[in-house]
Amino acid sequence: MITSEIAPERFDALLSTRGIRIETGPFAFRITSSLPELAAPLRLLYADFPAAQEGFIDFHLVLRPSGRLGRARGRAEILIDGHRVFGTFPRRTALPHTEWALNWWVYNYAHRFLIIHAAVVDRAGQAVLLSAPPGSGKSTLCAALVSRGWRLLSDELALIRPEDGRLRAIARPISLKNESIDVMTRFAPDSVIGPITKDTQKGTVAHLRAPRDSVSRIDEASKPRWIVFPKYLAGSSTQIAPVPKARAFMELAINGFNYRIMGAQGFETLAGAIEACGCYALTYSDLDEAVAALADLQ
Amino acid sequence: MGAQLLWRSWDDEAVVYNVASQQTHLLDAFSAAALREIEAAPKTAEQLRARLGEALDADHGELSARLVEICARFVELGLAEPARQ
Repeated sequence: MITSEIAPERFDALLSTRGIRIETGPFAFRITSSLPELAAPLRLLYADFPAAQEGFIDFHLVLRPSGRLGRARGRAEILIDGHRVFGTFPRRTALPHTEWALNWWVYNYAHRFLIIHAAVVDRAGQAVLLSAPPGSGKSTLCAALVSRGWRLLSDELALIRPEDGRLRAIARPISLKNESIDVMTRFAPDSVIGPITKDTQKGTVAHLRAPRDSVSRIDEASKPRWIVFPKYLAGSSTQIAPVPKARAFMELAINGFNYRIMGAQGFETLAGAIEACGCYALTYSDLDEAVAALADLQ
Repeated sequence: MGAQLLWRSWDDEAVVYNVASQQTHLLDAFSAAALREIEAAPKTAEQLRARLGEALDADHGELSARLVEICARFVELGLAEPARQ
């Protein structure tokens, strides 16, 4: 069963009572919310995700107004397994906070993977990791690639399996910020983008729903084949140049959420990924050209 | 030499992981060669100078200065330790 097969009224009722179980690749969570405004966006963005209501649950996520004073002031909070994560936040920002909480759980607890802060997309079973600091256009480029047929594994979390070096997919909605929302609306007008939330700590945020194909193939692991460090630079020509592997290693280690926690296994896993990949720096200002440049990688 | 090190090398650079400190370091070719020599067996400065001079075909005087600096850095980072007399 997928989420969209649950009748909206039943979905909303379950969400506000015993919760909805959703599987996102290797993880399953149950989400309960007493914020009714969250139901429609969740139904939209998670429409294609498996939602069998019985089965193992990795964690429980609860959204609710935050206490008497908070309720009066329009504030909410998120609990994971009974513990509040983040501070309270304006209730109208509940959707982006939900997505951030889902990421938070993964990079704090999913240590059976080496988790690198990177977007991952796949073409014919071979994956490219896009690693870049926040605000450098990584998610926009990820969304553009996905809209041009690449399979989405994640816009934020590269999950590398130590046992075989392959990448697992989560395929959750792609987070778009600020100008990238308009950029993607123009670049891929058929994309499904959820509600826009203004004035979050990351600016204006919206979420692009993963293509159905990406979600239906969520259990297909992918071989890492390229590591690309993209940088959007207004007015620049599209340039792609090799990056020395040892430098690429250090860059990914710095951007590893749990590289240090994993110790020697983290080192060996990352080294294996670097060994398997061509490493490049990409500078671009035109999304079409950037997509073409990545498609041309051998 | 006490530290247990894990290595990977590509082209002229290497990354090395110190199991004890859990730190990862990026080394250029010269530093990597020096550390590998020390890791293989404790060496005096003269032995290290001779080995690297041979391998790199470099001037001994120039080598000495670089080796003093690099070895001090290795000790600081916990990658090597001064041999007990």
